[in-house]
Amino acid sequence: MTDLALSLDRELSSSQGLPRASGYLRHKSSVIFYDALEEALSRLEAVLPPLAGLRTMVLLPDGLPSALINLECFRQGATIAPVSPRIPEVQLERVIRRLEPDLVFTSDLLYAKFAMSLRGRAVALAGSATVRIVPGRQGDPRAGTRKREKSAVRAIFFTSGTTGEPKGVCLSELNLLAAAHANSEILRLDSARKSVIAVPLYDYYGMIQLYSHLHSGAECTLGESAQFGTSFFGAIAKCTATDLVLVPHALRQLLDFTERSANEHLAELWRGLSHVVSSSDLLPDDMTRRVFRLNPEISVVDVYGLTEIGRAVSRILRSGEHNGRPGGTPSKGVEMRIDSATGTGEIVLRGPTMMLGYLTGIHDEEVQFQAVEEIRTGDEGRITATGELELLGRRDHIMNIYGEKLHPSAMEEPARQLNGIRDAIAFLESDGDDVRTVMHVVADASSVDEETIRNHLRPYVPRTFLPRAIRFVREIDRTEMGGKLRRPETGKGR
Amino acid sequence: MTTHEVALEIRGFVARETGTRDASIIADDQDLFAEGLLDSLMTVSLVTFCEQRFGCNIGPDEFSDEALRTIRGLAAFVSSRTGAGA
Repeated sequence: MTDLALSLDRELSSSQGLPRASGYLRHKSSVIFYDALEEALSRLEAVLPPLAGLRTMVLLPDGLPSALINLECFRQGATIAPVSPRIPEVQLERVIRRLEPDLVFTSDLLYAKFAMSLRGRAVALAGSATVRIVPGRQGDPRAGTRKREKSAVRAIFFTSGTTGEPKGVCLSELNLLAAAHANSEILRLDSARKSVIAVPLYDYYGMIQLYSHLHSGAECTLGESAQFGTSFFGAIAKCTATDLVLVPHALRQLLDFTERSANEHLAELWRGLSHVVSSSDLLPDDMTRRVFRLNPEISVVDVYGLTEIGRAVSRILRSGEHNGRPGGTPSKGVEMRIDSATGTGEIVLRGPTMMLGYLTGIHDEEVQFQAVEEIRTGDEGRITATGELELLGRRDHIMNIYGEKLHPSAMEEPARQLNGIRDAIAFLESDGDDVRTVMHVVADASSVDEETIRNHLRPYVPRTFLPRAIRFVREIDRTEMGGKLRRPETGKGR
Repeated sequence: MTTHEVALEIRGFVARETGTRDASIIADDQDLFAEGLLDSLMTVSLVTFCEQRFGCNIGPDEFSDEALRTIRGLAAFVSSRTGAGA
């Protein structure tokens, strides 16, 4: 264990239990104050089996029940595997086969929906007021007398990925606490801050927000979606938010909603914010410019990290300053290098938030994983003369036509800046013996046409890559949070 | 088409889109998004379905109203736009 990891371990273990802080956790109209959390968790503990060492799957939408269950599982020493309630059933079955959960927390609705996959599993049905246990094939988990030891693996996140079997990222207690600590430090969270968090708890980015906000005493409002602008801004107003925590796609949705509404009240809400926190995907310059136009005093915090190594690198953007490319400064204890002799290549990271490894299976009730010594991110980048990371994009998305290379974002971002275009994705497609660039756009065909789009792209894109086909689509497939585009599996060119 | 019939069709669509075998488990007043049934892509599909099936126009921001994210709310909205009976 590195010196930093040891000192973090000492620091964090000296603050056992929950912070005695003011502030609250909110979801819609439900609120729980931090100083009432201990009591709420004790009530939960009373109806649950001992959770230490149990593999618990949390298959719940965002809300106070899922937040409390998450905290109680952590507090008691369970291994928690949060899963999106919108998971396709085939994938859920795969996750269940690999994880072999001892207890599944879910809702009545989702239990009925996933009845086939959950058959035989011990289930804890979480309502708004209580939890009801449904025994599984192995009996009632409350009846067992054998206590399990806390596992080294305290959380498992099954990454969505873009292809193939989702990987189970295994995280230790130190990883979780270090990531929460890093988040608090990056954002300089304190009890005066109030965040609206548009990132779900079943995503690592969201779960870390919960832990770091509790740790610092900052208030948080969960479960809001930028797709629903009216209720999102209602939540901002209700809690007089200082911070928005989201992904770039959600930020774009809110900015578009604000501009469409042309409503002074919304503009006032933006002026009341001190921070916009973005992560999970590249944050384009045009978006930060739009934020600064609404509020020149705001700080935009752009965090780079993966589930495999959370909150690794960050930069703070301010209006009027030269903000540079995506990337930034590594968090305390994070080491980074570029795997290349030329200075530009794959970003490789290690540090206290680095996962233990990928799940390989369960053996004798022990979670087993393939240990790692560093994280090869699959992202392209370089390190500047001042030691900062410059992030260039996903390596496997780079388009290559006859040796000429271009990252699709170099085309997508300019396209999104064109009036009338709400989203865009570029990719290569086979065209007989040849290959061509195709672009899908979300826009009204009446407001913008193909030729206008091509002419707009000409200054940005080499002629080889100008899209030969532009198709108007209703929506572009993104990962569930909207953070990442799901790119078609196409040929990479010639 | 009555509001009740509209609600039945919407429920059926949501059940098919979300892979929910038994449509009857989806209650009239459950927030389809907050309960974890719909994601943003499915929400767009639901809006498209309503527009194409019932011939009403639903603007991008109208679904922002929480009431429209329930089967009851959406059915009432569609009915009011199409002049369907109660």
